[in-house]
Amino acid sequence: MASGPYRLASGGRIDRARLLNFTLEGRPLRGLGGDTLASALLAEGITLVGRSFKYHRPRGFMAAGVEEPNGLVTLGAGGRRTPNVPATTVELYEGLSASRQNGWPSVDVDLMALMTSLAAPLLGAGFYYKTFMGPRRGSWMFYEPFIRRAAGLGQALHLPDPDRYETRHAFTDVLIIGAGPAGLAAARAAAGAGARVMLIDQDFGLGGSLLAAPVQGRIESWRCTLEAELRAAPNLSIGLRTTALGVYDGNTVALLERHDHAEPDAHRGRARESIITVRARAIVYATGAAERPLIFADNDRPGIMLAAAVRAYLNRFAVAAGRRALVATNNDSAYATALDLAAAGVEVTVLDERARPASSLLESARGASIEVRSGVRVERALGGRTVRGVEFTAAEPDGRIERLEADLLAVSGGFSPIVHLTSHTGIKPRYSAALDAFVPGGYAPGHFGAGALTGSLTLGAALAEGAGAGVAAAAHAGYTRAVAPASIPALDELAGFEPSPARALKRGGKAFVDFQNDVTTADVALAHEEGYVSVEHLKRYTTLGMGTDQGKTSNVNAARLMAALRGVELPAAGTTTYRPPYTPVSIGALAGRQIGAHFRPTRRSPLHDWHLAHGATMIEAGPWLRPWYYRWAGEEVASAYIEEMRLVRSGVGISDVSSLGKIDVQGPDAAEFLNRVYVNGFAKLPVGKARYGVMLNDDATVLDDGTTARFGETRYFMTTTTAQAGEVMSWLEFLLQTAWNHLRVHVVSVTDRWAGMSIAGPRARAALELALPGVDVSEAALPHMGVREVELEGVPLRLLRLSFSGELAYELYVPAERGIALWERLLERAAPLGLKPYGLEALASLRIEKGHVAGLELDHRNTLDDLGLGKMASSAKPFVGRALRERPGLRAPDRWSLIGLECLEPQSRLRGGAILFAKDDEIKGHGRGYVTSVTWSTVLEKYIALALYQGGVRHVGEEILCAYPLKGETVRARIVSPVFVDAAGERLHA
Amino acid sequence: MLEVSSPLDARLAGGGRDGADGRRTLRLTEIRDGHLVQLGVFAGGAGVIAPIVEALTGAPLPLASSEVTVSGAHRLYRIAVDQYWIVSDDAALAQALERKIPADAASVTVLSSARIRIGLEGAAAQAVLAHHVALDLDESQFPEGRFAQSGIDHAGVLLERRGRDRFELFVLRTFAASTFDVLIDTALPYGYELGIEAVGITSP
Repeated sequence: MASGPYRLASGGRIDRARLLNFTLEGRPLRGLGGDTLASALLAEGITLVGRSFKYHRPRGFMAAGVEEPNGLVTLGAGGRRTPNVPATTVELYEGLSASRQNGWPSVDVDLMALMTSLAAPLLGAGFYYKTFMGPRRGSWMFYEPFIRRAAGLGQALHLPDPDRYETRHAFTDVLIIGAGPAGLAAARAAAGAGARVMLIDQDFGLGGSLLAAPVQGRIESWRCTLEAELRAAPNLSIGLRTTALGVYDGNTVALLERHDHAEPDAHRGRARESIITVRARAIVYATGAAERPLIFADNDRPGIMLAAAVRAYLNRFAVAAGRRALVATNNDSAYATALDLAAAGVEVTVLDERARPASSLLESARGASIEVRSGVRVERALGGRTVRGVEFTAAEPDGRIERLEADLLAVSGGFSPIVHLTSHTGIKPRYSAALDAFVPGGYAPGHFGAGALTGSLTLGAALAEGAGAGVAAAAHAGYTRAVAPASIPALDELAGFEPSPARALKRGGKAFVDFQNDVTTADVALAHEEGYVSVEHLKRYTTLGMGTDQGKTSNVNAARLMAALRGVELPAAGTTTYRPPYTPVSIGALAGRQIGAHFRPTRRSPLHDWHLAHGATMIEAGPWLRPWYYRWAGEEVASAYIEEMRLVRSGVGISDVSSLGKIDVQGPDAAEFLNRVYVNGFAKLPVGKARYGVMLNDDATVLDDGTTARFGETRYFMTTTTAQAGEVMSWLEFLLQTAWNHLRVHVVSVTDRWAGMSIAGPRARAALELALPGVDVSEAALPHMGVREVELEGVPLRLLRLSFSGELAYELYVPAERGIALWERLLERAAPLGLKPYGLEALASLRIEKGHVAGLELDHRNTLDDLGLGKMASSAKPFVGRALRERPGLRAPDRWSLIGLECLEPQSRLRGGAILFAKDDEIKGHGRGYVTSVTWSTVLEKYIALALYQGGVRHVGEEILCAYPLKGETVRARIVSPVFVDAAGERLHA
Repeated sequence: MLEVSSPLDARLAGGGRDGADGRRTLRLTEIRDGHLVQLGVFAGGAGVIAPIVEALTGAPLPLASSEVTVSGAHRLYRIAVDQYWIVSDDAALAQALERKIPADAASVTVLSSARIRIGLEGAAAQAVLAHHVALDLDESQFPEGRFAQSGIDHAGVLLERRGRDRFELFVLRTFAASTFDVLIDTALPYGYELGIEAVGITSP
């Protein structure tokens, strides 16, 4: 069954029994299984497929693959809407909805085309740089939105994308990129040699250019036989609809796999697209070549297409793109198109730029009733919304302008090998005079090329090179089994080519070089006149080679033009630098599943589930989720944390401190190691005691603080802050592996092994005695900074008498899987004493009252003295950071150092990050310091803060200003000691 | 009695789910009740501890850092030049090692509760892991008994192949829920079942 007036009654690699319904701007249309969106539209006679980027000129399909510059459509709707997709690469599926782009109010009736045609003389390359700079500085900001609205492609959207995207890894011995004739031959050879082979192609069919050959021919039967052989090979995987986006170091290749044809359904886990990171032992590039257009006036009219594309639509999709065709060429390949068109009943005339085409071609044409006009050049296309014919210069010596009518003009200006991927490895392409284009300049070790990529444009050469590359790649991967030669069909092939000479056109009109970016020959000439000499400069100035097609049809023609303008050979004009991705890739595919809850991993305390079940509101703290506050204390954090602070100051509370970094330090030299790492002495710490310590980076800034307990002669238990745990662990390992690898010490992170909980408050000891009746926590058994390791019902339990809040407090550590059980037991049995949990906000606020520094003060910029800890540093031993600590800059008296602040305005509050100024300073610039931590003090009944201030506690008693520009606030505060509560430390011994 | 809990308790109660084609081709389990000890050998200590370890486990200290040494209920992994893991069903092994290994020969650190052991079994096991680990898991390259240290969702894991379609992961306990969520999400198109395995016992 035919679908559309331009569909042929027979032929093609389409499933005529499978009718597919789709819409274009809501208009219902039908295609066939095996169609692309482009072929289905052409079959329906729809040739106007978009408006050009800058001039809003009508455009039709030029190509049949990824090189298409014009036929960009928007697919889908809502969150699934995807703009700028070449319709030539979209495999048609049931229900597809598409719309054309860049027309207002529509592509068919585009009023912007009228406006831009009037303004066209102003719109040359770089026009906006020159035209819209005045009259005043900043005027560009006014113009820009209007320009952007008038020009452009599809519209991006801000809705969440409901589709699923995935990423995965794959490994293979030989990766073959491109399943055209060279790729197929390489795959057969490499698999035959015994290698694991992955063959990928961006198309949804195997064969590449072979798919454009007539379906009834002997090449097709040979292709089918080979495909069957490859599909049966157990060591060969075939990835269709898969594009190699980029090649990276270590033979790593990024692939994009598309599943739009398979009804992607996020709810069932079916991805729309996947990024595959492939590591291959060897790579074969069989990426083929892209045909170049010819340059003449109005060469962008819909109906002007690349000759190979016309042939692909004809033979693969059974679509004749016109009724009366002209084939303009400078090489032999277009004759195949002409012959196939004629065989399909299309009236054809060949316009060959060459004076003397091969006689065999002329003979074949004659046999098909094709008129060949040789030695002619197309000057201008006729028509508007579709091509109506051409004006061309007849052969010398006549040289007159003639005119021919046609509704299809197939053009071929030669072929440009697809050198993008081979260039990603940093190897520049090399000019080939035979092709008048660039070929790979070489290959990285283990990389091989074959087929049209190398400039071998005949099928026989492609198959031979492919087989050779497959054998070589397999051998590189270590597989050398002999491979039986493939049967290759006998072919009579020609690949004659004469580059079109640069010349002045005899007819006016825009002659496009880069169709997607509306760059004309005049733009290239303008760039040259303005002093741009390199193709790289040309690209930046004119935007040539940018956009979704990345200049696949324009780069070489542009380089030729620039070379001619400069009077140099093409290689001197250079070529652009090709970078990944080879074709556009959606952000969703790059993100994969690392979105939403999976954006990054979440670390959970062993007590996490209990917190959730008992009214905790959780908060992110680095990778951790920690209880922020509990519902028992209030519904809002502002009131709840104050209630929790009061609990600890007046009774007893329990908090989850499992996120503290915990490191097992063991070895005969552990004491010496700790003594070197910490600024204070650890050499003589007795077993059963803990000590607070500070460690420095080797530049003498503070790295971290924490407590280390000694549980045996050679065994220590170090705790670090939550924030710095990973960094401290890495630092200790670094020191042991580099500076002190002679020390017999091992460090092991045991953060995940122990659940930690802190019981704090005047009733802390009583609570423990009630909850753990068999465990002696008396002052004698467990004095301040004492530690014990006991067994509780056969489970190890570590008790450390430490305080972060300034109250009598204990830290308990139990194997993580017993954490919830111990926590519940403590709460249950000490309930008569009012034991309740408190969260991170209260924990952090209690330490501010006590003047303990934490992550907000330990920012790797402050010294011991800045934080008021200078007296801890031992003068009797070396330690990390000691030498650089003496630098004058770190000893300067006016360094920003730790102070306390009390708010002097009862109706106001202090804010973290507020900038500090002396009372009489102008509120301007970076000030004299800033607030690091703020809380409401339940003891002082006012807002208090820790801050870093120039000169530090030398200014105690002074009134200063705390400016918070984000809210326009300035609040008065007084500098006080950073220890707000119990400076004598009496509460520790309550 | 202090009861044991797992970060995967709530997740394992959630049941499985059919894949895109209606089948369940992966079984995800938490393997419980095993024990894990890490040994850190000091310079010159290998000769001292090797016979002790062999006497206690029946297996020599492994030389290769990619293949497991197995003896009965003990599995030995060389996880770094001077570090070993011993995974065992024997609850008393850690104390025996601590008792017998001299402090100047090696450190002994119990890590049983520091890791969650996750099993992946079924036709989709390899494919699910391939979404996360940059390892060639083809059986010809990564056969049974091979292990590697890698990462899933930015958290470090030790991965071992235990059969043609079976792998085991040792995951940091505090990341385990997050890692498990990621595995479940990855398994969605394949379909999965959830379960608990105790050492030597498998329950639905």
